[in-house]
Amino acid sequence: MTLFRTTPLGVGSDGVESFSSYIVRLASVHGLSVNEFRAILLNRYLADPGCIDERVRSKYAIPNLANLVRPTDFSYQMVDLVEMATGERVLSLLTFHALGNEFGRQRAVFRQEIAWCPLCLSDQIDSGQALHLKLAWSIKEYSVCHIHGCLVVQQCPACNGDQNSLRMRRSFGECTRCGNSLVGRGVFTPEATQLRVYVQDLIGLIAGINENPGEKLSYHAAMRCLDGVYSEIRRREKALGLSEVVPQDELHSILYGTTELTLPVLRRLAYRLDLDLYQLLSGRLEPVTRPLDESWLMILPANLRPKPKRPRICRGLLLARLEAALQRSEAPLPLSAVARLAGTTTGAVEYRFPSFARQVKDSFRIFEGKRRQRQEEMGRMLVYEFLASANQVSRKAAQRYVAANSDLSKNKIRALVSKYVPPANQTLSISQCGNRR
Amino acid sequence: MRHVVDSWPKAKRDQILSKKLHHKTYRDALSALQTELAYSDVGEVVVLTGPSRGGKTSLLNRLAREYLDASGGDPMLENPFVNVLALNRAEGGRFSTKAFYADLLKRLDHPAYSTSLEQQPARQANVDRINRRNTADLMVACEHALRHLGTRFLAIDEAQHIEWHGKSAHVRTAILDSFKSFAASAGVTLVLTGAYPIIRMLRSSNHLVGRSSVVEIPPYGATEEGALEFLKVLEWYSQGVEFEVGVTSLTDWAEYIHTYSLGVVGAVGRWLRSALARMEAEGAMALGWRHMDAARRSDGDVKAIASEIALGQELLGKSPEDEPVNWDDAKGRRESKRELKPFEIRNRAHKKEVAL
Repeated sequence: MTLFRTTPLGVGSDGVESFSSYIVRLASVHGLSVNEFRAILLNRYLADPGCIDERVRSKYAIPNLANLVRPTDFSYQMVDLVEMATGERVLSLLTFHALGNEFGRQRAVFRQEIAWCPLCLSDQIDSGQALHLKLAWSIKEYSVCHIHGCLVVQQCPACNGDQNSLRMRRSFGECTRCGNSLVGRGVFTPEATQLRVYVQDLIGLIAGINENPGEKLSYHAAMRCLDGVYSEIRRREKALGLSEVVPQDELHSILYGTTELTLPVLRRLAYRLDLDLYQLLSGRLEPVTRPLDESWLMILPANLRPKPKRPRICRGLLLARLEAALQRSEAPLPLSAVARLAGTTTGAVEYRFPSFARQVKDSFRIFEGKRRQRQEEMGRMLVYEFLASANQVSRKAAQRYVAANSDLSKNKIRALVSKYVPPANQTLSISQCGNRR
Repeated sequence: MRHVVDSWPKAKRDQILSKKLHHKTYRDALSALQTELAYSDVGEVVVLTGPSRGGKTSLLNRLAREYLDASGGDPMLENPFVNVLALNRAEGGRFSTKAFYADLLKRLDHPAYSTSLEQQPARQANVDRINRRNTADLMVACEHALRHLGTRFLAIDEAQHIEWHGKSAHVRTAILDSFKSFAASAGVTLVLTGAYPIIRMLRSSNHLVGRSSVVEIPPYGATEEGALEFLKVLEWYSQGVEFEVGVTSLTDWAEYIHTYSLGVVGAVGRWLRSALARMEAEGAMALGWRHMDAARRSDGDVKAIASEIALGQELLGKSPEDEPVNWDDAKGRRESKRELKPFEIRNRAHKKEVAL
């Protein structure tokens, strides 16, 4: 048995269709849901005995449609099965299998939901193409369409429903939940100053993967390239310039491998060093770079900027500030107040000066305990006074009396009164009250 | 000698069965249908009708073959003309829409719904799937498959079987309307093919009448032109036939054959095959009058077929109409100056200008 021949769209270009989209289209052409389609593949091509009646069970269900583009074992199996069934041999180009396990398994790289550009869908209709989802839309950092400049949408503008449904659908132009059109709707074009994002490197990466089928991109290849580039820069005595455009911690992560080299970090490095991301990941980059121009290299697009780092401070100076803050008040202060007065955070104090933090916390805890004990004692005395003097004993009246003569909180007063004042019609003597203590 | 007797009737039988005679009415209908289809739009209906054994199915098969060849020859890639038989598969010989859509899926060699797969487990799984699905599901599957295969024309052969739905006439109309909607959503033109009663059935749905056009393969009538063409048909059938002494061709019995075949070419072929069978059973070496007469239809059969053809002529007949008047003349007449009343002055302003 062969399936109806369905050609994947845009293969060999940066606008290649995603594997998720291809699977949905293929299942729809055959009048099946996506899970049922997979069950047929398993049954007929792997002769899976557990799937012999082709009924969909949870074991054979596709967990997440959007994850089909990631290089997982499940996705590899699906690509193999569909290639067998359709005779199409380029289906791995519809995925990010080329990224391999080092980059492809990072969850932060890919979206968990189906996303689309409403204007690209509109263009597909105008050009007479079958509606499909592009591979680029499944990357998390691809937040703005590089063609239309509008935000990529993840939810139906009418019902806010996601489009991860595995049911059979007529086309990607309709919401699977409410049936409203998704084409040309929910378009939001951010102003240039509001969100300036850079996605051309991602488009280049997809184009590179499609132009070089079968090539694997790896962490080690990227490391090798960067080593070569650094050596070249050092040889040209521009190491100083490099260290300014690339933050120190990222330099260390690359040179010594102390921190994980992720795709976002590599994207930032490639942008700053003006390198091609695909060539960097494939290890085919020549160890040369253009002369570094700090004036534009320092201005990074919003999505490539690293998190701002706190300035380094002297340990002794910080301790002195903390002690000074502690001396400002006669009463012991909580650690948060001390840290705030010293211009740092509680976590930083606990991390850098654990014994000091413990000492501050202990003294404040003791002080607080004594204060609470005093308050309760005072409250109890007031309740006794009320019971001794009041003509008519009631809890409400006791609460009013204690509130008028102390600054205890309402909850504390209520707890004290319910503990020592009996309910209505159950008056007790002072001695009885004392026994209840 | 026995060998000779064995050989020519069988050769003739094979020729009649395998080769299709492209006679005049067939050629005319083919040309008309091709043109109608070329000018038709999605969701419209073209009706191909004619007497039984008139060549309607052959014509559809030929069109399907031609369209497939033009599209590359692989029906799993592109199938512009799909021809499916409307069979009465339901209980009691009734027509069932679910069975019809299952037949269509089988005709398309649908990987997930076809029941004609070679692999036994896969076929059984498809049968189970069809049983689990309702008619609407199968309709959607057909619609998606037809769209995917780029089908432009969906021909339903023996469409008069829809009449045997077994329920009220409203259901029949509803089925036809649903076929029309299905054609519109699948992006195809519907070609309904069947004997003359199909016209009567079609007229029960006003929606379809407005969207349909009719192509007929008529029988050869007893006119001069019809007779000439019918003689050509008989000459073709006479090729390779050995007749008794005194008879040279079927044309010698032309009037007799025309009377009892009612001018239907397919009926002549069927009659000749039956006569050859009787000749062979008798052990005769040549075809004679007695074989033909023994094989001819009974008067009752002929009467029934004749009444069906008469019904067709009645349904498709048009009242004679004079050539339309020249509308330009009519328009001129309408704008002509009316006769003035006494003392009425035409166009006073013009008069004034002239006076000045």
